[in-house]
Amino acid sequence: MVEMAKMIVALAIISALAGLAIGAAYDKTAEKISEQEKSAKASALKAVFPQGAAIDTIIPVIPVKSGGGLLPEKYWTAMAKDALVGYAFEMSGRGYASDDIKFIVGVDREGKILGMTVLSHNETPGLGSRVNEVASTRYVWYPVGESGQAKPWFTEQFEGLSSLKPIGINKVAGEWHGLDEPKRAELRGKNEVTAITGSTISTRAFTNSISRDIAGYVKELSK
Amino acid sequence: MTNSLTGIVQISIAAVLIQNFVLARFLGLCPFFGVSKKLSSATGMGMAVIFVMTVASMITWWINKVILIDMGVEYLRTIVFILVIASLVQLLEMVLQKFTPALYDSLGIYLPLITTNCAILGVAIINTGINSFSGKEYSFVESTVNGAASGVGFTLALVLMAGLRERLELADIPKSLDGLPIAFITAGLMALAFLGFSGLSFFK
Amino acid sequence: MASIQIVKELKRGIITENPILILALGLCPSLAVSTSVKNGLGMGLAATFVLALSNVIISIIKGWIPDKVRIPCFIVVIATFVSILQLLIKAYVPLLDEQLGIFIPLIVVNCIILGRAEAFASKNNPVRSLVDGLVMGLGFTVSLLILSCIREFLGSNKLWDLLVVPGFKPMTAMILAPGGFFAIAFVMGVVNWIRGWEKKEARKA
Repeated sequence: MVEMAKMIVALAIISALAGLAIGAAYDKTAEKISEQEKSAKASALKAVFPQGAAIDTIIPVIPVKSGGGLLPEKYWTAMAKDALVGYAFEMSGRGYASDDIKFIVGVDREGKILGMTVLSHNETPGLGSRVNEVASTRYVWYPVGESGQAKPWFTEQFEGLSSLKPIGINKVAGEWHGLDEPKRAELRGKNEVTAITGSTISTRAFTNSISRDIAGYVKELSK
Repeated sequence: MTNSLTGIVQISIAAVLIQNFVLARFLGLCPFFGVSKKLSSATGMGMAVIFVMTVASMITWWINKVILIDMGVEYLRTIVFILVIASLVQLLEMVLQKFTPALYDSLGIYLPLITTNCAILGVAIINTGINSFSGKEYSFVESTVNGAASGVGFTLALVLMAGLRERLELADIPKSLDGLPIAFITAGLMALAFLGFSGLSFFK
Repeated sequence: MASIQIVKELKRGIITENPILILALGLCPSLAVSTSVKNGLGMGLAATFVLALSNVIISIIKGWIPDKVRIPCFIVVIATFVSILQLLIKAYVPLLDEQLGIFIPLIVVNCIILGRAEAFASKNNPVRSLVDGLVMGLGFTVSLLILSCIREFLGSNKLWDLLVVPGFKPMTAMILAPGGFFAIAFVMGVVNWIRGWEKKEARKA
């Protein structure tokens, strides 16, 4: 019995100390963690609007419940000198049998896509995870100089496409980062994007939810 | 009703075949290679894992919902879950020994190994996330099914592997690959085969 | 004198008792996160942090915990450091948190850590346990780096996100599950071959 009590006391003391230690660590890091999350969102928001446009403020809007429920729970409007530049919507799409892909799309008032950023995803490493890949042009034995594009190529190819028409997926052209300008223009003309090799499902997560939702949002907002 | 039923079927098929714990998610590898030398012990281990995984999923779901989230101490999740699993295994061992000695004789030796099987903690943590089929959190029934089906997936891989390894005993293998390396290659080939299931899609 | 000791310890952690390649412990994280060199290094350092600190604490408290609840106590200590580490990573390197995902909390059940606690820290003094934790962690990290170099190169023709061979078409399967198994089989095979050859040489001499 004494031995039993000893065991329980030892375990209880250790668990209590452990709880205290983790609690202290949580207190110290909680602020920093929420700061990180906020700044990630803020920079994602900034990235969906063109760099050149002098955007003053990006305002979060929580719409008054409209009857149709056409608008998302929350969206943002970007203003430049009191003129409306565009909207940003947080979207999510079903990717490859894991958590949804979450991303932000910026569109102007005509529904033209201004930019897109992936917020979070859980796609297969090396396949679907390339939605965030920055096409590297640097080699391991000469890692200096031109760093290639700073933007992930997959999201960049959506810029300039219309969200009001369905966006097609071109599976034969190869990946966008390897194409030359005439070929890119041709795709843009057809309102098409290229798929990530071997990850058509991840690609479709984006095109599907954009074609499904944004046209409705833009129509509702232009009223 | 039909909706929740299809949800359950989706979760089970995904956990057993598409997102197989061992061959796709890389969880529970130590027992997978440790106990797959003989078919009989593989079956015993598999049964023990299914049992513990199901019960652990049920208990950790309640603890997560009722204690951790309500009290706002989600950061204690890892430590609470591992303690619950460790005591659960201990408790099961005692209960089995007392009430069903026959079952204890066949499963008993595998139970202590289960505490450090990352598949159990893994399923408990996955159950706290978002169910990818409904886009919502796992309900109690769903996480129980997820636990049981993940256990079945583990057992399926383990039993298949044990069958293959028993045959491998008779094969003439290059000396440096004998033992674990050839088992890894076998698992790799199985994983390639299981990749085929990833084409099974419930989505349009 | 001291430097000889250090070399000896390092050799033990990285070569003769390498946790992954010789003892085959901690396989889940090593196969799951070795898809790129960055992830491999991150996981290796995270595990080393937990391994070294939990070894020290366990070695300090080993005297006054009853033998029967030894394992649960060890697990609590390990889980504490893992939780703290998880919070630190979320606060300071959120990208790593996204990449390693569920495998950070699963460091708790990494058999290397409990294995070292049981086999070494519960029998030795804090300083030696710290050294043991560090060299074992280093061995784990080095093996992860070897695996992830092979997989990132063959699977995506890159190392540390930089291209390697112009025009080489990568084999995507190498960064998927099967590739993990093949890579570790290959590395273990090579290790076994070298050991067999060493034994033969020793016999000749």
